[in-house]
Amino acid sequence: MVGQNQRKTALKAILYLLPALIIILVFTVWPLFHTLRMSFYEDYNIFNKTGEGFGFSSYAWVLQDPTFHKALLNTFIYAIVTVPVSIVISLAIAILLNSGIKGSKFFQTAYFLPYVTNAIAIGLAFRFIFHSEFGIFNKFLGLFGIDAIQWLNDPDYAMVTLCIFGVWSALAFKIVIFLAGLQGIDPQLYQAARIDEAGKWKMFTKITLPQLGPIMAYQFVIATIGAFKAYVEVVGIFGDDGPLHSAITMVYYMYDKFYNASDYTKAAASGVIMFLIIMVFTFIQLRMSNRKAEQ
Amino acid sequence: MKKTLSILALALILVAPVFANGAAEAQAGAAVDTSSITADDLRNANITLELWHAQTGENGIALDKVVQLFNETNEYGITVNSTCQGGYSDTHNKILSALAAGTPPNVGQAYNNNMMTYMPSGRLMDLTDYLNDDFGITADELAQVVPSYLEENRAFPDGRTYATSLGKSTEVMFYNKTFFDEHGLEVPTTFEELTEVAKQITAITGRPAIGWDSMDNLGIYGPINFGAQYADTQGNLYIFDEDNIDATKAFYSWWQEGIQGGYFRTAGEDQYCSGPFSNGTMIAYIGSSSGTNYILPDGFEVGVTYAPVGTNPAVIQQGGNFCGFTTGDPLVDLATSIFLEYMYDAEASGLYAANTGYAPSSKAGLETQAYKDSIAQGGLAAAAKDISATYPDGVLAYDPVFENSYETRLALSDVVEAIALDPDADIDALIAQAERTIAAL
Amino acid sequence: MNDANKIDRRWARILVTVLLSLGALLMLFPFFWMISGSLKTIREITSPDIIWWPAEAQWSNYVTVLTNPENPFGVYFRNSIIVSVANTVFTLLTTILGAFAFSRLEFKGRDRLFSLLMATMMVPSQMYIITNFITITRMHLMDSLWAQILPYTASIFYIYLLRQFFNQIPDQIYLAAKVDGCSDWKYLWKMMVPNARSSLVTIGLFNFIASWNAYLWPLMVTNTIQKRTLSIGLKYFASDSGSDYHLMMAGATIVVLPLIVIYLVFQKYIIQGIARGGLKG
Repeated sequence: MVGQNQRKTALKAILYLLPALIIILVFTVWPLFHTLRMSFYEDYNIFNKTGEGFGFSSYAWVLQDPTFHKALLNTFIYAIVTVPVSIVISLAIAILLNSGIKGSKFFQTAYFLPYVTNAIAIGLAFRFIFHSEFGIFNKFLGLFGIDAIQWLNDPDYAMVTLCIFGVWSALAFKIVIFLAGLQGIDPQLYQAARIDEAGKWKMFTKITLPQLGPIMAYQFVIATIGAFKAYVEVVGIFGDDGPLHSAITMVYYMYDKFYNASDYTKAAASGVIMFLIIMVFTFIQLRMSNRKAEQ
Repeated sequence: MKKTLSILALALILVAPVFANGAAEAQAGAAVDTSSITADDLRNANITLELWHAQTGENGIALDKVVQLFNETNEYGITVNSTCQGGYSDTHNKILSALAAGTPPNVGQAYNNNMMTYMPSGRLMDLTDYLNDDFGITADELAQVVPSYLEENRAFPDGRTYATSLGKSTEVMFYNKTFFDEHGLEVPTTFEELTEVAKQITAITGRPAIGWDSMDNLGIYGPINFGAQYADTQGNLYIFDEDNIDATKAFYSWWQEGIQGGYFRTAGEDQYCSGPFSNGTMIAYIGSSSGTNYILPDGFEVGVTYAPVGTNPAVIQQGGNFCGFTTGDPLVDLATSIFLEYMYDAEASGLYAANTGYAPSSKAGLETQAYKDSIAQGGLAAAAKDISATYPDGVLAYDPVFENSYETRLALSDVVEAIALDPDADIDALIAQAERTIAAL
Repeated sequence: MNDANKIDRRWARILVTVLLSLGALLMLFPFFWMISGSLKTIREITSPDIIWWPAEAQWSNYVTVLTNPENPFGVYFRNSIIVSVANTVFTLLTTILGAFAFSRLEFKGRDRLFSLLMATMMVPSQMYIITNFITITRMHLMDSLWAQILPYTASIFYIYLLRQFFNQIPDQIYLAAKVDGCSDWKYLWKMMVPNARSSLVTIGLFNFIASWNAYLWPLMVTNTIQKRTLSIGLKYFASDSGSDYHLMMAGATIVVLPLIVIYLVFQKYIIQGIARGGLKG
């Protein structure tokens, strides 16, 4: 009886999942296999899909390439900096926006607009913000007597610039998700807490945070994946990978190897390495969030 | 999870052979024989060709005019459908994918180093024999084509011709004429004069006087102008070898002195020099002749002239070219070659040059009414175009394509950029690094 | 509550408003820059000095953008609407079904399957292009609107998001409903979907925006202008030697307007509960 039920549920689940599964299998898993296969060759003809030199030579090459090391390091820095910072800021903003403050509707729209603003417009605007001579940022810092910083020219500042830009561009999406998540919290919980005369901080830590648990987990996982896949942000702010490739990321590396250098196997190998790294991180995060949920 | 992964890996290895099917049959670029085909055969076949190009905006309209002229005037009843596929990188991505799917266009526009990556498909059209057949361009017309364009289009590892050109831009020098006149400065023609003028200007303005738009170009053509040899189509790099290292280093020192002296600069955060030039903070720059739309002088007159050169004069010609893809149908392929050869036609290249900032591929194009009219109209665009069209033959240069030409270009670009960013950079260390990078490819 | 406390609260409120306003300025600057750029001349927009607002608004930029027969915005607009709406409707369907299976149905290997699907998110989409191009060619969908719609009708990204929202809904209700003999199907549409309305609107909105702004894939799978969408039309103003930024910004403004309208219409669903909940105190 139980077994039959289980089988029934499994069948039902498959039916529910089928539409999504078909699309994902055809348009994501299938190309993924292709990439994986390509990565094991030394040389690959993408036109007739045959390769030469089956083995790990592409991996070996990529793993000893100083540019790839740089891309790896940059990507890690970018993820470690932008993920927590953008989540904290966006959560704070979402809570403030949700607190019924005056003009809340206007603010919500204002904080959402970057998400729809054209990427080229954003790039142009930030070039004016970061320009060493005419930029708003340096003019502002000048008020405090800080010398002009070469945000876009100096390789030593490229990652700083990229991280600032990365946090900025990650906010809009996260704020909206947090706002939607805050809607899911039962208002009765707050009312009960108020009757108990709980302080705001206590309400935040005892109600808001735990209730946002699944959403918070989502934000971390998705933000980490997004940060490891950073590419649009790099090109958006620098037009390329920054002065002397100082802001190169893993996806930039992969893209450049594939489409510019036509090193398909090396591009694929770097893509697979990236995939494995992100997977490790994601599963650690998923496990952590699941464990928390169980507690 | 471990189990799932290992199952995944196993499944992958098992299905791996499945991937290998469905490949387009590679058609060898064997010798072409068109002797049995007559013009009537072509006319009866009523052939339509697809052209994918990378020209947006006004340039796209100009190209469409050339296509229209071809459709109306060719005696073989060939019709060409022209569509824009975004910029060069978009078009390249698309051609690559279409070749993999077995559905490439008949004609594509691309840079020659991209064309090289189409070769393994077996469908990149070898134009060598077509150029000499009875169809399309005649030997006399071919002789009118700018020699360095013809050379560039056969600068592939096997020395065969795979491309034709319609028009090209070159580097030129734009300068603030008002400023030059006011201070009685001579317009420089050589690197030596350029250095002197730059120092004088910087002494007046207190800012870097001369800018270079493209570090990629300077990384190769800088050393060449100082007498170094760059590389050949076999991928042999000469620029750092015994015979050339002195010239290459001399160039790097010259460039470093300019940076240290504060009179040379790059576009840097401004991305293009046209911005700082237009607002008067940069007095002259070396950039593309086709970028004049973005030079918008703030209250001064702009002059344009030949880019200053070194002891071994070399100025880059740039812009994408056109290549063909074979179909296996001799009639269609012949039609493709006829259209590709049409790019070298005087009327075609003259018309295209008239409506764009490019110099015509055929010298006879300079004599067409359309081109003459466009020059007579005056203006900066016309002046820049005319400069790029009238470089002496020996000066125009291109870099050959070989297996790692893209990465090599990048590594050399990095050297000059590194010097620009750090005035105290150790040149020997930078050379060593570039050599390491290139050797690892 | 005493007066001192009240004054404190007022100051806190003012401080919060000031902070939010400063943040809003930073967030709005690029948007403002796009609008002001759309009314500038090319000289004003490429000038390294900051020109906040053009000396004379160039409305002609909009006319130029909208009346170019080589780059028909009307056709692009229609295609963009069809593609984005179809895309969003299909995505919402597959997402609702998938998220329900992953959040409520207990079956063997559920978490493992979910993890595997999650893994597919980690491959950069740049690696898919050629293979998917071949697939679309084999399906004979090249140069059609379907080619732009189909590959994006399911996303583990959204399934995961909705699963999390579904997980926020207490399990007791589901179990109670099951005891009452309510079928899963009915429960999903009668209970879960209405309850997750704000998250569904959020997902729909995100998907619509992503579809509306998609560039590379729609360009890859269309050969003719008649099948192309707005974001491809914007590229018309860019070239190798520079871009007509003033026209591009006018085009970008036109492209973004429908998105803002849609956002304003649906905003009340995303943030419906302000009056009743939150940290209001």
